[in-house]
Amino acid sequence: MKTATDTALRHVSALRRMGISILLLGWIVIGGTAQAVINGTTGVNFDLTAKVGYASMGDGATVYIWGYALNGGAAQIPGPTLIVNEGDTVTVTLNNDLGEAASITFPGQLDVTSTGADSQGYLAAEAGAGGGQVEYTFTAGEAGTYQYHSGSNVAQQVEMGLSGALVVRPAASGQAYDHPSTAFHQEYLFFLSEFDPHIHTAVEAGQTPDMTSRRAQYWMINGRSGPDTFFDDGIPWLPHQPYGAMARTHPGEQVLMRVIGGGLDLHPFHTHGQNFRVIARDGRMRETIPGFSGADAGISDFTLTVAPGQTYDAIWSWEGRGIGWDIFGHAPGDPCDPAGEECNPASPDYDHGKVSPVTMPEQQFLTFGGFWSGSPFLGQEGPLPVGEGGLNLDGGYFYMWHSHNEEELCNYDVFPGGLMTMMIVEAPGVPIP
Amino acid sequence: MIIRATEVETVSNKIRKFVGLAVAGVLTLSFLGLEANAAEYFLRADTTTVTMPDGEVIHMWGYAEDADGDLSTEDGVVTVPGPELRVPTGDSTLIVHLKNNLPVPSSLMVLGQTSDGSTPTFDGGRVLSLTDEAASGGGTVTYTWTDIRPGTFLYASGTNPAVQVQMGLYGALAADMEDGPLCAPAPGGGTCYPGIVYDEDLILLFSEIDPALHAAVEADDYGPGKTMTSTIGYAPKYFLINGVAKTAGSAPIEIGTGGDRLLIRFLNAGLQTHMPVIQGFYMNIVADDGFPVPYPPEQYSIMLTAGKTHDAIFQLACSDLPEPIKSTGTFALYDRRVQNLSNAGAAGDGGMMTAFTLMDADGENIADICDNCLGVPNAAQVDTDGDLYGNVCDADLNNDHYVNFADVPVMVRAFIWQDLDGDLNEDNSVNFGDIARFLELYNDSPGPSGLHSQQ
Repeated sequence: MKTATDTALRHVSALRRMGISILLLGWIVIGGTAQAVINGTTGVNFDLTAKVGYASMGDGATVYIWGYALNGGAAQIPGPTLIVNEGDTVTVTLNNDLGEAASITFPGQLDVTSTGADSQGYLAAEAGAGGGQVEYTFTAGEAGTYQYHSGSNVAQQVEMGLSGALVVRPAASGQAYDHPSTAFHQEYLFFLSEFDPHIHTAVEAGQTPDMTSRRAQYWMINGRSGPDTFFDDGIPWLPHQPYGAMARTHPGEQVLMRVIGGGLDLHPFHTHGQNFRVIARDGRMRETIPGFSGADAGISDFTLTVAPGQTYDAIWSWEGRGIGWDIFGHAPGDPCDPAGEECNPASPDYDHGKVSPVTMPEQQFLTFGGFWSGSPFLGQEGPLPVGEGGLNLDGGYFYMWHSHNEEELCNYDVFPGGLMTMMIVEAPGVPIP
Repeated sequence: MIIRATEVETVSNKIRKFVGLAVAGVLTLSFLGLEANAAEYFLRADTTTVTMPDGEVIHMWGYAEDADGDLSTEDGVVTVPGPELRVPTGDSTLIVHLKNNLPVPSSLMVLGQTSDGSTPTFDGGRVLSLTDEAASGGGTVTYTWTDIRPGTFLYASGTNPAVQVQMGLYGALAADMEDGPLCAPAPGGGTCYPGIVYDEDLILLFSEIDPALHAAVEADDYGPGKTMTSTIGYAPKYFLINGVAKTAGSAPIEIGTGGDRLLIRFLNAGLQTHMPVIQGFYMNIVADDGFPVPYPPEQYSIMLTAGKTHDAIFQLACSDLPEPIKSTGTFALYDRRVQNLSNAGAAGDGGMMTAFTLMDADGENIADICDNCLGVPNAAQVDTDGDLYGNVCDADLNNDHYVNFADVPVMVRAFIWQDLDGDLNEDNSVNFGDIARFLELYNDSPGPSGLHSQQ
């Protein structure tokens, strides 16, 4: 996996360097440690337009899409991430620039009503072709992670890109649900989907593709296929795919993964580095006693079966303790970090100041990846040969998070790419985002 | 719509259970010599055709239930899926007599249940069938399961399943708990899992058709040395719920008022994963492959992989229904793997898509669960005293829950002073029409009201 990633990264290293330089400048200006928040649009009134656009895949291919656009902007995949508060009365106005009726259905929202519909589809009230409009209203009754997608000509329109994420926040900040067992430090969205580009080509040519013959060739997180998932949000050369998927955290922090099956197929989403614990599915906590016990019925796993239509919340955390050597490269007299257990001789995590059992080979025996900092220790850097590495400015650990269906790590049959991104564990004190 | 699905095991419950079992034991002893009841079915495996929404006629294999229990006279109709097999509360034995009219040997197995003494058929070292076979062209075999586990199960051909199951040899088995005292069956319903009582149940069986295989089998063109040599290129084109692919105007599934505890039994006889979603509502998933789920999750979707069964409890209150559904009473159920919402690739809705419809017996376009007067079309739903009994049903003017002589002076006052509590026919005045209605409602309880029953 590492070699594959390295290969992918070589293609983007120059851009990434530029990006990181800009980022670094940002940190210097802003300073301090902030929380990673999901990029989206907040409020209670949203104006979306179903329209055409062109998405760029990780191999450079261009795919014709239908997407939801925010406030008349560019069509985007996934659609704008709508972030609302529990109890809000939410109004979504859908304008339809497409050549056929379109709509939105909100699975998990219980009281969706509509006004001004041009027609009634089987799953949702519709905005008519070429300028129609419909307004949906619902109460965001329960906190959680949800999705929305087209309810018209569903087989084709969801494939074309008409789907997006809906996040309902509870009253308590820093929690996913109304229970402290769902508290988190960092949160990230992983909206998984896939395209069969031949269907998109056929639709662009005005044909009716046979959806039953569909076979996906591009696999995406947040609308981007690898390695574009590594880029920041809102980069100018991906105007229809504004959301990146690179995740970062510090040792010991709780990372909330909001995972959505946004496409048509199932994806086994694998987190390297540590197990996650599923705390909710379909916007409902996994509880032993409903309404009381909190998310105590979830399971720990390292591969999440992400099925289309469903949503999952999971908590992932990485501590890097108990491996027998001090990954922070402390000297014995250094202060304990990140937690005291590493200094407690009775603890299985006692490794403060213990050196790595591996002697680093000479540089000429190493193959360098872009993410190698030159040091095995978290937060530290070492000498690198000219032209090697350089993508890991803070000495973090990079874990690939990806589909465990290896076919899905391709962009149109070419490895690597597809449904993959990175989780970076940064040393304590490194600012995020 | 949170449903407490698991019964809390209290001491008093345990005592009750013990007493119940003791009573059951005594009853059994008193009927000494009487064997336990058995659910017995006579099935015929045979060919049939089904017509898809686009007019395509598909050659299928299916099971027919023989009506008179005599397989020598073939009086049942072949269906796909096959007939629902049920082992009711109190039974633990299932007997199936199978006659095979197909051109190849065939058999029947229940996934998740072990039949008595059946053996796989081998040809040398190669398994041909997972259970006893009935010979082609009219052979018979009898299967017995003496220890049926309660729950929801698929039954299907155990012979060359790659071909025979696809061809249509599948169906649903629903078995209830045999030890009723454990769970106190609800009136008219049953108990499928410990503590999971239900009023009614609904089988939703998902399956697929790849027409290429069916054409090859019909033309005797499937097998070694023939045009189609395997099912490796499986490419289904039709997607069915209970044997039906959606088409314009296909009838919704009636699920009663929605207020009862509906046990939905989801089964997947197909080869692909399906993701049933109930549009706009949640359900509690209570079982997985016929095993109870420890902490039933509340979800709007179910991951239904190939060969899988799941059971969910679905129950609505009027307050769960948004405005359009209160009047239409209809909402969709569909496969969120939306590529399957198509009939052989044709444009428009198709495939694994259906709708549930709630009862509206009096036809005033208000679902009975939200109707404050059942049996009388009262579209205005007038309820001036706000007691959830619509005026048309509510001559109980003193609100003592019975219409009797004590209500007469109140009605007379309402008549004189035009108190609209006495407007029993929704014409916005109290007149002789209301007096007549009052007499119709006299000497009875107010109602019935779908709303009041939820209080």
